[in-house]
Amino acid sequence: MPLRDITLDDIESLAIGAWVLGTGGGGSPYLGLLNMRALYKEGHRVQLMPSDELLDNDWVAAVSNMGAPLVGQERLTDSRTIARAVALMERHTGYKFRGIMSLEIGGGNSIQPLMAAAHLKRPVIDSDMMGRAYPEAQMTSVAVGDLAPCPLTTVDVRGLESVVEKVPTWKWMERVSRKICVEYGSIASTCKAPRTGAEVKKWGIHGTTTKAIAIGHAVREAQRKHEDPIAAILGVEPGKVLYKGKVVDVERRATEGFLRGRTRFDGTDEHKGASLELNFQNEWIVAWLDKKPIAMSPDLICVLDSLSGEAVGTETIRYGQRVTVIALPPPPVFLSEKGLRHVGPRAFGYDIEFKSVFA
Amino acid sequence: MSLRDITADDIESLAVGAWILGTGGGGNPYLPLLNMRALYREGYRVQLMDASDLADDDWVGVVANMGAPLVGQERLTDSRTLARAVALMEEHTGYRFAGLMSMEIGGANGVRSLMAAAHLKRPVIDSDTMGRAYPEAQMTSVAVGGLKPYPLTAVDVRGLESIVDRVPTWKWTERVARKICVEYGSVAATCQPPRTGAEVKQWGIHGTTTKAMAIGHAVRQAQRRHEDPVAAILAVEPGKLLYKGKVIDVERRATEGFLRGVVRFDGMDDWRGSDLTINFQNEWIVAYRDGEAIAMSPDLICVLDSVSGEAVGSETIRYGQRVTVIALPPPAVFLSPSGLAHVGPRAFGYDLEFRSVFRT
Repeated sequence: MPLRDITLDDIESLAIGAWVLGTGGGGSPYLGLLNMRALYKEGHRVQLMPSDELLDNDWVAAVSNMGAPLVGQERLTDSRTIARAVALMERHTGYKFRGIMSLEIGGGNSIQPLMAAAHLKRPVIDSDMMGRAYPEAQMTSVAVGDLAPCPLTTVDVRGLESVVEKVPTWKWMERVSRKICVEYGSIASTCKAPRTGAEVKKWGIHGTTTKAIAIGHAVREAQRKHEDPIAAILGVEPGKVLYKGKVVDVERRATEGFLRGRTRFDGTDEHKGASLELNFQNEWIVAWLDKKPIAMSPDLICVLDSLSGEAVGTETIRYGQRVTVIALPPPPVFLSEKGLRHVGPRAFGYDIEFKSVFA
Repeated sequence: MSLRDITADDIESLAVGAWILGTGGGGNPYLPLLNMRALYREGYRVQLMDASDLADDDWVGVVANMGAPLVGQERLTDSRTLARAVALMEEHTGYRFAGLMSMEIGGANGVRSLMAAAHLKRPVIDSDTMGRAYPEAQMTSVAVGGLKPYPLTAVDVRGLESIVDRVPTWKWTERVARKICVEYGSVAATCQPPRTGAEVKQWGIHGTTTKAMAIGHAVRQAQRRHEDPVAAILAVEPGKLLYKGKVIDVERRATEGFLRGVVRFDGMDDWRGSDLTINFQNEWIVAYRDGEAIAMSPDLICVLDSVSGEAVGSETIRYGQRVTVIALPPPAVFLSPSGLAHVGPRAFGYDLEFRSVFRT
């Protein structure tokens, strides 16, 4: 039996691990977690399926919430909305989905497929398309693989339902669906272009739900045992500590539907005297140590609360916080020339050559 | 069989008549006319069908271009785009349309249904859902009738295709479709929510393609014979002459996807010494003579070139033009309390009680 039950404890760990993999963006998984607690209390259960169990001609739904994370703090997550986006896609295409996967494992969208899966009684595929969080639709493994960008369904709690049926490029998918999302009130539940089992096996980033659960589990274990949670993360992931410090300045502005800005840190411990600056567009994109770039997308830059080990997001980071910045290795698909064109530093407007922390 | 052939000459008349029924908006039908001339030269033909010949369970495709008329002057009309919007609707719903009808007879959209019909080889239904032109999706007879406001398809020349599949109200159809249209570059070919034959028969505004052709024919005849074209219109339609004058001021601004503004006129002939102001939102909405509201939506306010009798649009009217302003009676569906809630002066932000030019 290749399916395994996801326990409520797994979901608690997933929420913590996915927020770490969110690299500052993707929105806090907290509201999704509350939904899953309620669904599990009502008796719903979700199972996890490795992608290699898919048949080549199975169809898989890829889901995510799209929009401004801040709006989610007023318009709370409703698990049925994402299920309706999937149901609309099935009605529109005539496919019956074998399983449901996450567009991005980083942040709140890691929990979205579980909510849809609970209502629709399908397994969640243990893969995603980013291995982290990214702000735009063309920043995925399937876009790097030039798979079809359409159709896409988008629904909201009021009962609004739209389909972006055809677009020439991923960038156009981003443009049209973003405008629909903004008109809905800057938040929409979406089902992305359906993928075949063969496509998921070839272009998916695999084992990421399991990975997020393992990271979260390590953090929670360390918290319980009063051990160093960051050391615990580095015990399960081949990451690297980049910096320890204190937030001394945050510049944040909401522009063109994104949260952009920079955060400055003063070093503590062995980094005393060294200053760090992080630039972000929803996610942490480039880290500069004493004005020299030391880490950049697609490497994962994770800012963690030094005490709890939990992630600190770009929308909530504030003056005085004590943080540890670590890097985690990126999915290999983003390290090709084409991958770097989609998510390398130049894709975010930084004229620097990608150099991995792990090179 | 009650289909009748639409001749190339009919389409020339339709372009002139639809522009008059556009009440200043709906866009100039000239580019769709050029498309139809080209299609007819290539051998395409289109037929006109009465709504009464539809079976109750037939499906009808309702078509319109959506967007800013000004953009159409750079992104020229391509007849295949609208046909694609209809084809997408058929793919999405599984219906096969027995015929196509115009969402609005006024302006360029009065001719566009013919372009889709030529490619898809379906008849055009001799009805529409406005009897004129209006700027928003909820300003139709089918919205007044509370008919289903979805689905809607929107496509463009690049191959972009979207479907607004469900909305709670017509106003939401307008909101979501408008945003898609703006992202496409402020012009999109749309297939509006499909209607059954029964719905078209009950809620359609009938005979409007024929009416537009008759108006255009009268104007063209008068032009040819050097007679008064405005008198010719009033001979085929029970309209009323409101004013003759000269444009002395135009205030025009593009806001929220609409063209809004005010035009002021100085009276001539019988109206010397009397001034007229017309407020517009794409279409002419309220006319004030010497400060008093004398005509307002849903009555059709038509501003015509005094010499040619052809319509003058809100996007092209300019200082010095000699115009004649007439009113034409509105479709009866808009005179009910619900109709006036959709298209009466208050729907456009004017705190006026509707009073028709044609009240007896």
